[in-house]
Amino acid sequence: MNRRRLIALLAMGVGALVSGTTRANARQAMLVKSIPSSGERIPAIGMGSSVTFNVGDDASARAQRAELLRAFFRLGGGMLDSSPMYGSSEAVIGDGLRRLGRPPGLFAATKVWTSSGEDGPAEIEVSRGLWGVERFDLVQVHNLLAWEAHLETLFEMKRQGAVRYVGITTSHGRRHADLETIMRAWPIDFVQATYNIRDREVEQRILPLAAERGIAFIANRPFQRGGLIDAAKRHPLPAWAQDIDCADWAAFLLKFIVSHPAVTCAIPATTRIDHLTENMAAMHGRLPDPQTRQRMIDYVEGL
Amino acid sequence: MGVWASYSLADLVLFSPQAYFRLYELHNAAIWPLQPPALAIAVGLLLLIRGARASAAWRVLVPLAAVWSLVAWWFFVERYAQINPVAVWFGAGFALQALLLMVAGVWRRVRIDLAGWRTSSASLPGLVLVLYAVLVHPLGQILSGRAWIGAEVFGVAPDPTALATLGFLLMARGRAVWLLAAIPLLWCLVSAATYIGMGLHAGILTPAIAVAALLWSAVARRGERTATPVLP
Repeated sequence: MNRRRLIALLAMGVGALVSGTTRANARQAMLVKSIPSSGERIPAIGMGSSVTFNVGDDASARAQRAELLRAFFRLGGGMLDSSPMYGSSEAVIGDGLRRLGRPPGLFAATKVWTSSGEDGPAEIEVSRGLWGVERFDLVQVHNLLAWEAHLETLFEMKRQGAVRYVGITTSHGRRHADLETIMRAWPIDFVQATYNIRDREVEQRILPLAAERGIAFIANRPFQRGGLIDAAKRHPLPAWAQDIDCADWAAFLLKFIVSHPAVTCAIPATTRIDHLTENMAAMHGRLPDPQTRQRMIDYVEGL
Repeated sequence: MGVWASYSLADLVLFSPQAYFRLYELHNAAIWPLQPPALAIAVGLLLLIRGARASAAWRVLVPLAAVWSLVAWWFFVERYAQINPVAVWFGAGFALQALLLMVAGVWRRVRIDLAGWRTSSASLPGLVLVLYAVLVHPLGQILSGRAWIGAEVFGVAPDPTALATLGFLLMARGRAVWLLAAIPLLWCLVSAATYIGMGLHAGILTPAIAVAALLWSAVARRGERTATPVLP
């Protein structure tokens, strides 16, 4: 495989098997993936913040979340995803980032979530202030709410350099038809939807379309808000999980997601550093091939 | 509508049980030592109306109005809204209830009479519900593993305040009573939905206790009307 072929594969989002080191303090080579619209590479495991960072003014909880963020970046994390919908999450993230002194490697992703297109810019500005970032790397239209007006705003912001990437989101299989329409009609950089070993509807049309249109895919709800991994942990990990370097269920479930060629990043959420460490371990070691992925599905469905 | 129907309660409750319970710990610490006076108000009102037969409703409704307005502002707007933007609307509902209680208490055209729990057996369900709200509700939470400093106390937290108010209303007579009971009952349902959204199905206990007390009261009132048809 020559260099040009390698770069082409990465740009198509098929660079799942390509490892690299993005952080000087990352101890081992880790899985990074390309954003098709730019070729920029980001760590394949990010972090969501719905529920987990919504702790209000609780000083001790905020301090703990700051330590969680410190561990996230130390372990090579990049994408941090939030939304104005998540209560105090953006404020808590911003508090943590300020304590860490703007950690290098941060890929700041939030959403615009208001039914009024006119209110979008003001809401994004509030979010930016809460995070304390100069600009967001990615702003997504949350759950397709007033998506047309917000996309116009976001593309104008992108033209002006106020945001680097534009995306749209949904969850739990909602409005996939609308998602497809937007993916075909608008030059969006990212699409975010639910994808895990049990919720695989996006494999039918959304993921192939993302690969075809050169759109990065963010997998939300990788553990079904904890229900999937809690259920899985009641059963033993299959012995053959060692063949893909999975030491625990977190790595097993996350490697299933990020081994899909069209998936760019999975964003599990947690409040615990030990769980975070397990999640980030999914960026290391061997990934399952298509046959092994099917075996993983069969095993989980048989539990 | 189709999209909204696809949302579960868990999709709408975007905070953890830990964050929710921690609210009460922080709130109790912030307003200490108002909890003992709040509990004293509940006990004092019970003693005040133990033998009441009529026309003392304002003595109960006005203090309850004050309590509801405090919960509306201090708990919902100042505290709960930090993790749940909808809490501002919950606070508005509690403020409206405070207004209704105040109007019912001071406006003479609103006829509400009290039947003291020592003189009317039909008021016994109300007495039991108030005692549950003031004593059993917070103690049960502590025994179930929550930190004692996070106990939900009447006059400070919404659930015991709503339950105790329903209890006092079960000792009252008059058409306006049902209007005054609407928001407390609605809050019991909202509280249960919040707990279920957090994956805690024990939250169903709050509306279940309220409904059980209402049913008991209806049966007791029917029996009292049959025996001594005094109160409307």
